Amino acid sequence: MSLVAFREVVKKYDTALTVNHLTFNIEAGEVFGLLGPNGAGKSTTIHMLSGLLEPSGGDILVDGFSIRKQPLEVKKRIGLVPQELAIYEALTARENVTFFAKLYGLRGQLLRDRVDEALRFVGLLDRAKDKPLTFSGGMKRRLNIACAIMHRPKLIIMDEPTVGIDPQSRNHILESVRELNRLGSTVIYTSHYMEEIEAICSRIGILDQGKLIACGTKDELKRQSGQAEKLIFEIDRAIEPALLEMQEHPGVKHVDVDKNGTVLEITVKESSSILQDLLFIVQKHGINLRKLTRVEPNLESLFLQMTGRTLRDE
Amino acid sequence: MRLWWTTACYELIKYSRMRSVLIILIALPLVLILLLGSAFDTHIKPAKVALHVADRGQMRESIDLFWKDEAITPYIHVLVADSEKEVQDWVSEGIADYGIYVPESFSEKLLAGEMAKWHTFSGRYGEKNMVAEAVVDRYMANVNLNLAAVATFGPNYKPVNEKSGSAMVSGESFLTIGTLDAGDNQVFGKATSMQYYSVAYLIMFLLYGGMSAALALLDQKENGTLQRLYAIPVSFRISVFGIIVGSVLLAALQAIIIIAFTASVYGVEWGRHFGWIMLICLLTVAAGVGLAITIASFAGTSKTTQTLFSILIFTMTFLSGGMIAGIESMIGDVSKWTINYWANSGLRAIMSGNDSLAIWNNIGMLALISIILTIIGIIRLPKVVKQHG
Repeated sequence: MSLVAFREVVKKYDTALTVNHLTFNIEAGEVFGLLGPNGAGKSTTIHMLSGLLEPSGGDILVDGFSIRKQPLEVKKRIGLVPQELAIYEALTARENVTFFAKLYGLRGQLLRDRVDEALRFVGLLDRAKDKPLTFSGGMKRRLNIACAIMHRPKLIIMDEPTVGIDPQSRNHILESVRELNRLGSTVIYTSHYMEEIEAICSRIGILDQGKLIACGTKDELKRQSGQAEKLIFEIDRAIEPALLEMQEHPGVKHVDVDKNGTVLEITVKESSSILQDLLFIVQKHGINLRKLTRVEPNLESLFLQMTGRTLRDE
Repeated sequence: MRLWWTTACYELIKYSRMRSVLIILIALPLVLILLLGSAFDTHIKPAKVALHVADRGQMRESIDLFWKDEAITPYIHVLVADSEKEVQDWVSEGIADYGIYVPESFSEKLLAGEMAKWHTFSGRYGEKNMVAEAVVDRYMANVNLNLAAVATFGPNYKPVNEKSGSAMVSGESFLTIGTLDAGDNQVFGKATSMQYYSVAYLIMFLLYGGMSAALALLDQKENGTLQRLYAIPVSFRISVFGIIVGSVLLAALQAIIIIAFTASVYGVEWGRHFGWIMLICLLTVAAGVGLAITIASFAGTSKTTQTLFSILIFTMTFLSGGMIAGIESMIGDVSKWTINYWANSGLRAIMSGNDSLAIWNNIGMLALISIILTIIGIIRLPKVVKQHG
């Protein structure tokens, strides 16, 4: 059984359909990336999943419990890391985590252990007595995460957890996501940063205008889009027979040559299987290879192709 | 119960760390009560007068009797010094507020028809100097009057009040005191000015305390913590209730501190019905919370809510006479349309020891207003706390 199941989920505001019959599953143990430009319905979807908003239609099941009928059971299994820094500046880091832990029903030694565990996990145990007022943006983001994981939820929802922080803190957070996943949590991760999604997500869903327009692993999405890899050869001179030989290779889709004839952009089906053949052709015709570059299709171009917009489009 | 109580306790912890909130809600009313209560207080505190009478002549007895007169003792506390120098020293050291030295030759000069006078030493407080000087002038005026009578009617003339040699009738006060307990003040009713302003500013700042509930909800909505509270496996009503209870507890604490401080430090007499006082405070806070939530539901942001509610509290305090005592006589029944009027009247009735009916009339009206505002607040609450309200 899937850990999360969206079943024809609809959210309407007046007449506007923000989420349009969303149906997909998230399996236990996945890091699921949710992509979409502003206004795609990403936040609304996450708010419905975490019980902040009631769906206008359909249902969401988490671990078999319905968000409409058993919201408290669903919430027990979820840890939400909101996009905003949902922490209290007047409380210390420890008090922040302790407060939310108490609301999750933790008490006594278990409470203290879990609070320490969460603070240690995000690297703030040595700053537990300090108030967030004295923290950097990255440290606040990490505290934001600690407040959502101390009860060891099955499902962690991270809504843009790396907005506005330094690269070091971003790496720390990404590593934390991997670690949480290794420890058994399923993670739903939204971000505007494609490289983050590519780096940590095992599956990706692309939302546009309230609809899930693509869903799968990165490779599956590439296949769905029909995008291919490219090999870029920078050579000293172009020789016509060599170009013809390359174009006729069954693993090559297309060869583009720049106006000087010294840069070949070769679109291939799979680079690993034909690279040796292409290098042999170059060598056979006495061409000197100056530089070789392999370009994989990325999510950015994939997203652009699927939605006609970049992720940061307003 | 545990969860809303946890939320309420953490709200109190947060408030306790916000110095500006504590200053505004607790220190500011105490300062305002002190400033206005003192400024309008006509009650005169006794002046400590260092006195040395070196005169051993015929006037000595009347001088001693004068300083022991019951009509003087409420205003003058005599400290007997051993010498003129000691009188001077006590005044300069602040041991005494005013000093008087009666020279050895006073009786002799007076009876010989020569100029005779007391040596006086003013202290650092003008108000105390005035009190002491008024007493001295009064004595001198009476002595002069008697001397003039002797000169006119001959040596057989006997003064009206031989006891003290003064024209004062025992028990008749020549200094004004400013409480309506004495029945002579048309402004503060049956209260002292300190009592009057203690009540006015307690109620005004309790209403501000009520506003803190609405601001806490809006702030938490704006910074995202309310969103996190929604996501926990507890009914959101419990979390919201906890936040409101936290603010009400803060207001209760505020009331206890203001009442205890004004009673012990400013000497304000609050009456004997502490339970009724707390009931009035609670109803005032409830009305304040309801009103603030209603305003917040229309205003949307904490800044706008704070501005609008502050204007409203200020206006209500003004109309109920919290800034200009006795304004009710100028504006008529308008003041009765404020929360402050009924809360103030209730507390003042308790202070004056009025009968229960008068007290409960005010409490009843206040309760009615509180219930109505609380119901409206509850109806409008979802607009304040809902994520997409």
